Amino acid sequence: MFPFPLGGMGYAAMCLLIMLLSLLQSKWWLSWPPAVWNDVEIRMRESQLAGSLVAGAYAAMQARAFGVNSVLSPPSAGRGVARRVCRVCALSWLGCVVSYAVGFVPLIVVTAKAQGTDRCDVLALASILLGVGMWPVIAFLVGVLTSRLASYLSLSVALVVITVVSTAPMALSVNSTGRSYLALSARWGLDFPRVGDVTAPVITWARMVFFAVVTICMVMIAIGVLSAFRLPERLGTACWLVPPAAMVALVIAMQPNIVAPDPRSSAVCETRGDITICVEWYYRRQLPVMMDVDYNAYRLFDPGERHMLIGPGLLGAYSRTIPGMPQPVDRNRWRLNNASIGITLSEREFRSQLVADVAGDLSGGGPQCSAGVDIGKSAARHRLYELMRRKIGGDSVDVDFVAWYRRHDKQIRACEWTADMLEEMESYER
Amino acid sequence: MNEAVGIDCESLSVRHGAVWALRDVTMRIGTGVTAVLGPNGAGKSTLLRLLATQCAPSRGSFSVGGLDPRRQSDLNRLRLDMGFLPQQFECMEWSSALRNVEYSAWAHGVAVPDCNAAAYDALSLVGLSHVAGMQVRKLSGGMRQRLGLACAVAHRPHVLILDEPTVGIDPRQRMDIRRFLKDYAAQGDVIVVMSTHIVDEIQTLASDVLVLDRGSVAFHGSLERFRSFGGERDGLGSVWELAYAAVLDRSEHTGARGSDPVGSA
Repeated sequence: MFPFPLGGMGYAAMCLLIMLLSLLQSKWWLSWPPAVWNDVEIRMRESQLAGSLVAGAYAAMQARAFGVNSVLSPPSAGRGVARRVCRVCALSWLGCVVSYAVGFVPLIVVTAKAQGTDRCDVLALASILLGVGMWPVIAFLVGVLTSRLASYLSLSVALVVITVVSTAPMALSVNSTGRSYLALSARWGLDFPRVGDVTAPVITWARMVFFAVVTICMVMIAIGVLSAFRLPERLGTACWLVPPAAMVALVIAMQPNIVAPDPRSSAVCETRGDITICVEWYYRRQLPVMMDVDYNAYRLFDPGERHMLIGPGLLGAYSRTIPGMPQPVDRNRWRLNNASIGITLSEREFRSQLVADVAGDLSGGGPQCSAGVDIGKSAARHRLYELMRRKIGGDSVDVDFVAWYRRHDKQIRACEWTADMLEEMESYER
Repeated sequence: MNEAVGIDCESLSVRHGAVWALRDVTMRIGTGVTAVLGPNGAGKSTLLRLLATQCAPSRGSFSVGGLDPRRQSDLNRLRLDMGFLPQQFECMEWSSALRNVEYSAWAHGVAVPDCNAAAYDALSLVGLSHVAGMQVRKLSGGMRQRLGLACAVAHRPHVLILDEPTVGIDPRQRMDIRRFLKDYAAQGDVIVVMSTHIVDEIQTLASDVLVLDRGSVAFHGSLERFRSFGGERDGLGSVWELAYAAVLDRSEHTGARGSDPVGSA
């Protein structure tokens, strides 16, 4: 006999459902770009709501077995309240955490094959799992507190509480990334930490401690509510809310940063002709794609000029020393590539973004064409930008257009458009 | 348990805000079946929850076989040997009858390896072994009531507290439950305290009768003494119903509040 109110089959069903949900949300089957460990952390953290709701629903249903009107496991049953509560909470916690982790195994295996294991932030993943296990325990307590309501109401309240508590910190935070309002939240609603950053270790430890404290306190409150006879005793169990509340207040007062620079970050660089491109080691497989687009574009439209590009994952290159990156990194010499990269981005989409980035640079990406420029010149620049995207991204080289650009490249970069230039450009737009 | 075993109540009182749900209940309940009668709001359910250790008295105390529930060790021992069936109870609707009784057996102290056998035994006792694998939500009202009984007796307690165990079910199933309770109580050293609104029920089941009125004991005594209050039958009710009405009438006139109830020995 499996000592769990819903029995072995119910427990297995809960675990299987959580596993399937996390498997689907891990998107492990996406082959391009190869997943990086930061993506694994982001996916695990941001995917927990569905599995948490499933675990919470099961826990809330089982809490009814502990109500005063239950004949299964009422407060007056012989086996002690603490023992029964701890058992059901521990089994729920374990099933939820293990199933959730197993659902992410394919993504972890794929990532380990592509990236090795050296940069896996095990601490961050562990803190996420501790957080995931918290939800069925919270739902169990809600179920105990609402056991006198109809079962569908009790279940609904538990699910609403899980959703609100996991989402509220995100909704309340109006700060930019790195602020502490999100530091103790189970979900951040952000693609952080990006490559080049890690979840600040002190934040990771704080989260682990917080999740553990909340889990234990919720169990103690449930035991207290079920054991207490009188209202004052029941109200006394509310003192177990003090530790987690104090931690939240402390974190909000301290405002620690969520992310910190990744000390393991390193750059991989390639030079071809006058083009040098550096990317973070994670994105080394994208370097040839970048070189292909940028080299072909600059060779045609801006030959003889040196171009040095900072690619994905090297956001911190201006502010700190990154191994593998040629020093010094001067803002006037190194340009930040604006192509983004993400787990759901196909190679074709990445190429399209690279083309747009080069087109933006060639159509006057300098300060002369930014704030203060009149609408007419701004419109001309935009027209050229769209035209460049078509030409650079096309299959064949338009020699006439290249020649036209080279004749006027200094004017274009200085945003000194003339009527003749506009007229000539129009002929290439048709 | 031996004949000295019983439930001894001393000035038991329970207060809900400004209202006394029970006031100064002093009595001794012995082995066998004690039927608890009383109008709505008399305090029957409060008394039963109190005896089932689901709530604590505001004043007074009680003990069961010498075990004082105010001491944690005694409370634990008492609960291991007690079964309680609330008036409206909950089960795991989507689990099987067997599953429900198994878990109940475990929660009431039966060892894991023995839970399955204990559950089958309990279901057999109440005549539900043929539906052991059926989901609870598919059981009829009478079957659910018997399932609740099975959960309450799965660990073979010596003290059984039942709050209207025959309410809302058909006469045939009511008879089955009465037969079960009678047999269960006949094992010896078993205390069964059950409340009921069906006064006639007590004649086949109870050895003692307790009548509560407005939180106090209006009558406590043997079945024969209770019946003696029935008087001449006027065709409007059975002798038991007449006795019940007579007891309540006298309780109203005397305004008894726990002291010197009608019929107390």
